[in-house]
Amino acid sequence: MSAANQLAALIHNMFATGLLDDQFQQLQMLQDPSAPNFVAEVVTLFCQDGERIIGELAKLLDKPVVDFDRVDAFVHQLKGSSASVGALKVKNTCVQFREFCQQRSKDGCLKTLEMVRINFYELRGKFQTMLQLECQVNGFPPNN
Amino acid sequence: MSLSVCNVSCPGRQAGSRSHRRVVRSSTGYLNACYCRLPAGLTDKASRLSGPGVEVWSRRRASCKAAMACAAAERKAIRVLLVEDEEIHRVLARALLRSAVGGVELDEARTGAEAVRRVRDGGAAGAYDLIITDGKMPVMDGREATRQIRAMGVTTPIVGLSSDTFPSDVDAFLKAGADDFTPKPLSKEKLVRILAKFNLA
Repeated sequence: MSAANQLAALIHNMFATGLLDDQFQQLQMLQDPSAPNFVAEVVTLFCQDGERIIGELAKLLDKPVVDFDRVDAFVHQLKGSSASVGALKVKNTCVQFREFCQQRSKDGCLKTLEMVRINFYELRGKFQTMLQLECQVNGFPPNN
Repeated sequence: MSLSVCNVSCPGRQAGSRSHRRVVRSSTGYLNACYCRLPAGLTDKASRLSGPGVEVWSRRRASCKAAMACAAAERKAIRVLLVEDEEIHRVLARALLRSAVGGVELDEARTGAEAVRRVRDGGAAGAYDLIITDGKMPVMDGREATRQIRAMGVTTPIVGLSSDTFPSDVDAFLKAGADDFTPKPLSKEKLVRILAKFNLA
């Protein structure tokens, strides 16, 4: 299978499995000759944000007394970042996470953090493959 | 609407009341002295005009829309202040604005306080055609920034942008003085609607 076909199949699969939503198509439409690396730029920012925020959340939830307002603020950030890139599963998990923050449930937050982590790293892995394939197809070096 | 029609027939200019002054300024400063609350008795005069925004002039209490339509017709680029602390949202908004607007001069602020400062530095008439502001930001949030900008007398359209979309979140933005609210993420469709609503498309 050619790199172009692999790329198309990968993206199709990401939509079909609910990892991505229509917002990702918005990003694809915004990529043009004036911004040939636009999708890679946004995806890279999302991956960096996600990794940083998940690390912060783990530290906050590891403390004996949890500052749920700070936890909520970080989850809010990740939700916004996910929505911007079209990361549907991560975004939906963030919505559940915020409910546990409002309930002040440390157990709920810890369980949901694990789900966020799984969904995020699954998506990040696919995004990395996608950027490598795009690089082969278009000749643009990925940002990360 | 041509420049000359706009110049001669701006009802606010003829009314000449400072108390009715509203902030509308094009990039050239041409509409700096437009008045947007239409005094009674000017409806007939306004109805003789033709072109975008005329129906707004025919209302007794017109907002800034007609004047903005004049400005949109003569300007080459609209000036937008984007208030957003997170880079991913700024990158997306930049691309969408480039894509949706023929010409855009984009300023960016990362906190509400920075936005207030930028608007204040633009002068009493305000330098922007549109302000798009996030809700949650460090130092000062978007709602407080909106309140402070309105307190300066600036009537530039302000659109709140947030992923918090409960009715109470939207109300808080509107009560602070925002003209509109749109949920994150920003999309081309949402941006086009906003630009059309304020005659900036």
